[in-house]
Amino acid sequence: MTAFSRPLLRPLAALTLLSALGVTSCDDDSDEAPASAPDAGAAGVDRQAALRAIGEQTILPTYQQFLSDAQALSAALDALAADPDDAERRAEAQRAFSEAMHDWQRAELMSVGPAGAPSARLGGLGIRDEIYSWPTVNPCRVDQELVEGEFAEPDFFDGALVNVYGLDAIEYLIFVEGGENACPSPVPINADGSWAALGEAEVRSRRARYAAAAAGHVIESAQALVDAWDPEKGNFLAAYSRPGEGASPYPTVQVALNETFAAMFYLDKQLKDLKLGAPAGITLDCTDDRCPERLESQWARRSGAYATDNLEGFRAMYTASGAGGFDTLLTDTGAGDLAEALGGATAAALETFSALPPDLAELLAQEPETVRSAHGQVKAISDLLKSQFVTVLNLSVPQEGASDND
Amino acid sequence: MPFSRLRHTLGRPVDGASLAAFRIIFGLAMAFAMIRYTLSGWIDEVLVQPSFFFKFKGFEWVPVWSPEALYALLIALAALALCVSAGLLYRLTAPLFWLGFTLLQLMDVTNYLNHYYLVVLLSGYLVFLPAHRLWSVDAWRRRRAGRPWAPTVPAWAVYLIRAQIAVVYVHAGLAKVNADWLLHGQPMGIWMASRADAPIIGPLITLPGAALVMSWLGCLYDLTIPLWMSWRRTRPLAYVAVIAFHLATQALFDIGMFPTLMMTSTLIFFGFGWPRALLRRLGAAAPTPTIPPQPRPMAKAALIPLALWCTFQALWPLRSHLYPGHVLWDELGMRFSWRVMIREKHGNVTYHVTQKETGRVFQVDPRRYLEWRQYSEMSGQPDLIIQLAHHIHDDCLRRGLGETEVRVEALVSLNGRPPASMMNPEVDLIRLPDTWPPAWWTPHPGGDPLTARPEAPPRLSRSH
Repeated sequence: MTAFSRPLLRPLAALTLLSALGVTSCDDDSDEAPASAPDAGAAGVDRQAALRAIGEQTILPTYQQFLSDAQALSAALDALAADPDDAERRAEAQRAFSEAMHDWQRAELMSVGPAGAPSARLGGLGIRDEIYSWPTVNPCRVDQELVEGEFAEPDFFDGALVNVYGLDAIEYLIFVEGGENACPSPVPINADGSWAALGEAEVRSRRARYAAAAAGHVIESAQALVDAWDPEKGNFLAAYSRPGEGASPYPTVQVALNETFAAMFYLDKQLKDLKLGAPAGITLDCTDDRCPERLESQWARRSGAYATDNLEGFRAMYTASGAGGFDTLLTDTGAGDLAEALGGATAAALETFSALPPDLAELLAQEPETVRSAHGQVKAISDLLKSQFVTVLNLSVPQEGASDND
Repeated sequence: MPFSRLRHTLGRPVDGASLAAFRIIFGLAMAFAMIRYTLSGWIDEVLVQPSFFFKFKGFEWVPVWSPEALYALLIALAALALCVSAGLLYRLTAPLFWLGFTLLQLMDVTNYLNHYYLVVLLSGYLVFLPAHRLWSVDAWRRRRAGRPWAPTVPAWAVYLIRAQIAVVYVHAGLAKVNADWLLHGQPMGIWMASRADAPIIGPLITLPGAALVMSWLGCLYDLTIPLWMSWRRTRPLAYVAVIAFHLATQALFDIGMFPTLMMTSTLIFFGFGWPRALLRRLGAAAPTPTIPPQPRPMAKAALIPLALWCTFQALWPLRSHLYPGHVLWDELGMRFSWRVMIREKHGNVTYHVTQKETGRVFQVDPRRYLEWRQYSEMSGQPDLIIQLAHHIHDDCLRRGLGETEVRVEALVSLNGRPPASMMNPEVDLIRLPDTWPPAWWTPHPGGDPLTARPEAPPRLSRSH
């Protein structure tokens, strides 16, 4: 130690201290809320602007569009309930349903804040499950409620489980053919003859009225979602795009980005694994060659169309519908190649899925390799998302951020 | 004779105040950490919710306890840490704390953190060191019984702790001497960019070159702080730097108790009697003890294992340099090497399970078996990926799929690079031949991932 001379030691000590003081001037953004939005003016990365664009240009407009669809669906179902035997009205209700589902499947990738489950998302109110609870569906339970006939009661939706209402129940009610039910014979409605006692005409009538009642609840839920985000009402839009301010559940922009990423992760778990991987016999969930019974949309038979809608929803979130979302964020942070790669992989997958038939069941039977190839294209997006995308933006899935690091 | 002088230097009795202060502060910090761990509910996340646990090689026998037993263990550890701090039944409570804490760490590899390893080491040293001779309940009871301990400890006891702390810092600094850290300012740039919205400092830490400056300063700090702390004249200023540095890392990163541990442990570099000097400054009576004039040399039987251990601690973290490839990529020699916060690494891992009888291939997502936190840790660590492959193989047997081959597609991004295959996707992980480098090993496609310019990570700055 004595070999070091004072002239050498002093500058080095000063340098070391400076390093520490330099670091210490950084403060934890989770401890102190910014008084106002950071200046996004200078050319560079503005993560908050990405959130704002995603909220304003993608999430809220999608919810508003869905609310409009839901109102049209409700009107069509009211008309059907008035005359359940009218084939034209049934076809119109089915068309309205498909239109509503087209927008809701896009919204599936947007479960940020109120749409998300309270246990899984900051600011979550669980509205998503009120509207569409797939894969938590149970047609047999719907039939049991049909026999009970309490679906028209005003408090029915407060006490019932999510698998007996919402778009998933409506799909079953308006697309199922014939007078049979979905329950096995030991279930009471079959064992005690209460289903058979209804008769086919009454079943048809109850299904239409049940669907109309369920559509009313979907409207309420969609309205609650829109109101929650509406700048004139709940203004979750501000809470989302200005983390750390007011009553925002997000302490920092980074946390809001993490939550957004978690919502977009639907692409990996639900779309890739559940909607495509399991039916195509790619995952261990299906040990037969293929499992078409695991396809989504067993009654409307639009599993392929829904997958395409999911991809469109992903692209809308990724690009903030062209207004500068994660793609711009990546480019601004210097990861332009990744932005292009992700955009390219998404476009390629969309092109493939757009060419698939609306129902994957037949394709799965005749050309399973085509479905497996489509699954591979979704996996290509997922590969980038879970590796470089997460790394470059320092994202974490919320559940993993709870413990220490080093 | 230098060896004789060394024995005398290490064996000479010195004021035991600094070692006693270390015991008191370390015990309190551990008690706080255990209480924090209990109250935060992390034990549920890390050891109750998962259905599969990764094991350290050689410690596969360590079971994961029931939730009730785990909580009891944490509470017991907090109580034991308080006992250590108070010096109460020290010769019993210090080993029990070490044993319990070590067992807790051995339950699942994905819980491994460098600072937990440091706690295992430091608490292990306390088992053997006479840190309770001063300012302890045990010492008080001895005094009351008329058999007081001398308030001194052999110098080596203090030097051992200092050496361990120095090893941590220097190796943490050496680990930063790589192109990513010093030339590209990564992953500091990634971390700082994610804090761009921090009030006041946000615009500063994302200024062009800020990440690089911080990387260099961090590296210099780690490499030289033991030196500045060892020299009396620079020590006060250096300790201010220690405080500032660790408070900053505490604020910037989710780094848990590591900053507290380092800030308090580094006090051991002050003089042997620093607590007395502090007490005197605070107005308390703290007379300097009489040091026996005839020092006893350290026994050879004690010096040799101590020297071997210290040499091991100094060299073991460097073992990765004997291995092929780069440690940040293939993780060979990563653990127990003080490579603290130097990589940002995530991957998409998919297992391809081939049913031998039919030739049918399944894709298996690791999340089927893992919690997110475990998956995140596993996705960049080949040995853990291999462990899960065996579990999947066994699970397939249980499911009646018969004998299977398990391969892995591990696409991993290191410090912002495009994803690349971290492991050979062709090899059956269940039947790996005993070769070196391992059959799964594959170099980064750009060569050494940390020097290959074409694969250099993107610069992540506010302006570009």
